Amino acid sequence: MAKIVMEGREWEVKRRINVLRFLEKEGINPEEVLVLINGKVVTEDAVMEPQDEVKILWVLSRG
Amino acid sequence: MKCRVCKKRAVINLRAQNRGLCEECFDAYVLDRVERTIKRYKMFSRGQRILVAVSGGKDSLGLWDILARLGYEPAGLFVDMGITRGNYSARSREVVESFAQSRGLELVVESLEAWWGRSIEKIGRRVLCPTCGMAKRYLTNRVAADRGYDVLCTGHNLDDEAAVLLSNLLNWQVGYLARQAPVLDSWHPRLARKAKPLVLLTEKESALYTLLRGIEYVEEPCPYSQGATTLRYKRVLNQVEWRSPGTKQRFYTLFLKNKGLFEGVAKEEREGLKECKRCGQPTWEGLCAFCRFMEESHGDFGREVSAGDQV
Repeated sequence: MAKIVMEGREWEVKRRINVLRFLEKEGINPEEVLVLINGKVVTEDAVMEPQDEVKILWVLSRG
Repeated sequence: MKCRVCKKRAVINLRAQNRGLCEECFDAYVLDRVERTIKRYKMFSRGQRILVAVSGGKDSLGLWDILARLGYEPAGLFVDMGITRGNYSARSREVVESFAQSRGLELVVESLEAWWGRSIEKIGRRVLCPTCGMAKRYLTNRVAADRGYDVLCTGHNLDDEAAVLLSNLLNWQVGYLARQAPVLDSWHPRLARKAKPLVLLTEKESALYTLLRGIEYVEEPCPYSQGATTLRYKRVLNQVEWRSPGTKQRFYTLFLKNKGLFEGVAKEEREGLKECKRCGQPTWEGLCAFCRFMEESHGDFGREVSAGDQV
């Protein structure tokens, strides 16, 4: 099960899923995040596999 | 996605330019982009004395790193505002000091308390972003001008500038529109020349650069942060950007091309510049905003600034 974390939010995804598809499903704008799969920065077309650890970093500063 | 240049695995999809870049090519792209920005807007040149205002955040530390790698000799300036909540100022200072030490860069540290006799938390009933921003602008300008630096650089990126531009347009703040620029010349001996070398890098690109360089920075926003309005404009622009890549850059650079529209206002502002009766800093009033606030807060401790003041 892929574990995805983003600033206190957490998801567990059972099946492989494309990064862009996941972001769109969750209403996250890809312009505003960096996605790391197992510590490596990836582009939106990457695929998250069930065993992956995924971190989503929000990049906009809030002052 | 593959890197357009070398076909390795891409780390970013630059949709506005319709190309992906790998880690090495992205690094080269950032250095080239910033160097071109510095030259395009005639910001400064090698051999000049450059001061970078660093907060401990990703953009300012990234900028400091980039300028040093490009062969400029930038010193850093950290202004300690005395924010004790969450140990914020102390932690930020540690991060900045550690960065400077690891790269052998010169760092100037100033504190609001040393200048103003009190920290930002002791000024009003609560800490307000406009007051903090005004005090920071005053101190950074004063340190740069008094110490004879040729230019004061800040880490504002394309998202910051596009959001401010949108805000200024929605409110038709023609004075602010006339002054918004990637480089602001000094019109007065006590007014530092200012430059924003990251204006053509998006916030995502700036964040990725800092991450890939392994730069430690303060991730949390200031505990008193009230940046909700700017953040809202950034998010609106990013929604449009996602549907129409390149919008943010076009919005900002075409504004710069059309800045002549505001030249009348800019000229009036330059001609109306006086010196503050208290500190001699340039101002449009009898007292500069900093001294005016200081006088008011000393006379009536606990008074807050008007919510209409701009950061």
